[in-house]
Amino acid sequence: MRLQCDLCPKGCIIEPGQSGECRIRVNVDGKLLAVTYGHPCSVHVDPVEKKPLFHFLPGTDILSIATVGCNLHCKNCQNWEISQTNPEDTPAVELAPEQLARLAKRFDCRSVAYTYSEPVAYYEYTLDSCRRVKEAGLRNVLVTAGYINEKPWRQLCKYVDAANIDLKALSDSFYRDICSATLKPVLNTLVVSKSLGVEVEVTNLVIPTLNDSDKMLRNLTRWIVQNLGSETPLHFSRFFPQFQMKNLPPTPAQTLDRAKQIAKSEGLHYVYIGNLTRPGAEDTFCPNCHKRLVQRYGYLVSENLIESGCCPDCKTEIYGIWN
Amino acid sequence: MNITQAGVRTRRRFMKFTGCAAVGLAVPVGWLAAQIAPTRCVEAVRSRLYPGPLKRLRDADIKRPGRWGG
Ligand SMILES: [Zn+2]
Repeated sequence: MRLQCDLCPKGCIIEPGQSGECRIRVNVDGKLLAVTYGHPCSVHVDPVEKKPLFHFLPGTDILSIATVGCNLHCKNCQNWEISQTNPEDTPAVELAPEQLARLAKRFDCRSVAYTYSEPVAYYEYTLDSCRRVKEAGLRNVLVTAGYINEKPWRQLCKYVDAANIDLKALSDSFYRDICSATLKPVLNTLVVSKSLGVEVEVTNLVIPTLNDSDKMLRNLTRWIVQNLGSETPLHFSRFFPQFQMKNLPPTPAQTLDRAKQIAKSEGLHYVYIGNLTRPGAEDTFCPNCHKRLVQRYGYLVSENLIESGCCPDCKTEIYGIWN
Repeated sequence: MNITQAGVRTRRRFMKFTGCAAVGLAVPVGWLAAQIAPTRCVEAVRSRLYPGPLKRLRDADIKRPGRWGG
């Protein structure tokens, strides 16, 4: 019996014995099986700044997990060795959802991140783990491309505190050509997440010649301001040639500065430059009095002046989860 | 019976025939479509078995920040 997986907009039709595009949702005897459930290939303690999340418990550690598999196939994927591989070829550990919170607490983590590959693809593991982690009084973070249908996403968001969602370009042809996906579902995921109270931060990987024009950057930032709000943190990330995109150079620092300038001129309050260590580029400033509130260098937080979620000087509320 | 009455009867017979034919076709076509259409599902069954090799969860590996982005 053939199955159609309605988890993500791809709607893969899966023949018996085959998997969907994500490689980890398999038709076994007419039943859709999540074959990486409870079996992450990566379990690490990371600084939360590495996700990147800059407006969520700065300076804390976060237990980060991933199974293999992804429903996108980005030509520039940074983590292709786990996202574009089969579970048959990748060693994994046994870690049931009910064990996750205990493990996080043992390593002094106040939150758990579903990250590295694509938490949407290992949806059932993410969902059950998020429930358990929440019950244990910890918080959940997703790092995702946001390519999922609305109904299952809404179900997951009940347990999610914060998410870093990629917006790869405000261009459907970019999504089709580079990621084998489409733009509209990602925009919907962003809007729905924000409307459900998830702390949303956006990452845009700036790739030379593909999405680095003034027009593309302006369209993207304008869309964020108009649809998510000017308080939404935006991370412009530096591209490095890898996987199937080794023909392009790393993003020049000036391009990232230009992107930041455009985003600020469109009204975004919190714009950061990532994958490029330079003083000040990752600091958080008060959008009202411009006082520096959080000072970062790399993944290190050297100063955090935010008091009860506000600027200590002018008392302006700073978007995020701070305690 | 004049020509107009015969025309009406022929038209009614034709309508009845095409109606029956449409129903007669729609039923098997619908049945066939249902047989071919895949079963739709969102949530998958949680598998207990991993199809690949297993490794031990070691504290030393966990403490090390992940080599992957994100
Ligand atoms: Zn202020």
